[in-house]
Amino acid sequence: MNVVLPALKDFQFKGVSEYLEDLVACIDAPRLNHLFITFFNDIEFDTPQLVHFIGRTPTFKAPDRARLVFLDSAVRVEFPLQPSGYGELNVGISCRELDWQLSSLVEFCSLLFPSLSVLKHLYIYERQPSLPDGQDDFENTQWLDILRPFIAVKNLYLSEQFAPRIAVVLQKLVAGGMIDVLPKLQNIFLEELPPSEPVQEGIEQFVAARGLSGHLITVFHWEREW
Amino acid sequence: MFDSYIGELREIEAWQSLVHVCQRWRCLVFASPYRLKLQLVCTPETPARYTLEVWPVLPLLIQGHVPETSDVDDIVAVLEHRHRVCKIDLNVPSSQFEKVSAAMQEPFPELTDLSLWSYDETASVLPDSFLGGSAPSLRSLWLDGIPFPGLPKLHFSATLVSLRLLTIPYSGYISPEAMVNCLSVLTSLESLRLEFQSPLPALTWRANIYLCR
Repeated sequence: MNVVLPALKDFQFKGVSEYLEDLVACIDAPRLNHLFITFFNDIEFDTPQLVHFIGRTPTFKAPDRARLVFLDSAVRVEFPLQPSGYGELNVGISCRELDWQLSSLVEFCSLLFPSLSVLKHLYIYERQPSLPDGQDDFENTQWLDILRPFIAVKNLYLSEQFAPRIAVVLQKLVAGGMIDVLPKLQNIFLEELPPSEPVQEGIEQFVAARGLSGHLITVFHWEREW
Repeated sequence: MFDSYIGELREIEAWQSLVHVCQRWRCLVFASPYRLKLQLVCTPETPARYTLEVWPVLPLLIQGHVPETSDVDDIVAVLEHRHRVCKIDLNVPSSQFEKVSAAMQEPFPELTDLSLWSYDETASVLPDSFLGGSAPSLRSLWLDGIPFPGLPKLHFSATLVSLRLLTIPYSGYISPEAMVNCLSVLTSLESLRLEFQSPLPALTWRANIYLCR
């Protein structure tokens, strides 16, 4: 039988996933509204108990947005529970290099797939000074795997630094005829507007291709508030 | 008039200026220690061994940063008044930590808030006898860089609201099963933070799990 923590509102954990799995398998926290987790980097994550714990916590049942946030020393998936106000589900992995961060995200997004499949808003941005130059096919494949679970996203928000990388990925979608990635997308919000030439080219191709299949996509300016 | 000296924005010892006004005011203030929330703050710089007896028997707060080069004799002197200590918020170098720990092996029945930090290398392990094995009034416990593997054996009351174990070193490992048992009595707990210093090596992890079963 699980231990119920009736008053617990805030739970923060930093450690290995095995420990958290054993812990959350045995507790329920019906009033929890702030869960902040940082895993040490690991080769692989297997967190079914965490997914169950999130699923049986009432506050976390219906987030409508996610943020993929790249930091100096970690990558985080944030689910703010209200556009403004307290309450958040926030899971991060400690790692520094972008390729490690992307690999961790691929794995984590696939684990969280059920909760990602209903989100309407997706933000991708950094809270660090700069990203490495260059982008190879492996990175593009990783981005496709990251984006694939977000099947209900209508609004995609891209920071100035990530827009070029995602624009390349969107071009690949067009070239590959892939329509299973971001199939419900309606609006793209760019922090930099007008965008640089490569970004404009990539997004125009994507918008045109989706338009041909009857899905209109509009591009707007995004003013980041944090 | 006196009430304006006990607001949240006032310093804890603001009342001391009142008792220096005149004998009558001093008597009035000391006649209402609970209503005026009179407390004495002791820091590592307070010469407590000599000055504590100047004051009436009031609740004690111990707080501050102990520099590497200082000793903790005066802090230990305050800890000897364990029935009066209600809050402790101390940042202690590992070289001095054992003395502080040794002075806290008896119950502190009035202690509501305990924060202990070790700001350099890992402090020595807190023994199971820490606080005499019970913390009947504790509302907040915050240990940072301080190993306390015997925490699940500590008898908390259900009043604990906040538990923070940060920068937990290997020597402070607590198994998930023991942690769940510990949490099971904390029905008022609102905030829980568990943060390990670094991942346990796989072999150590397995060995610890084995040993804890």
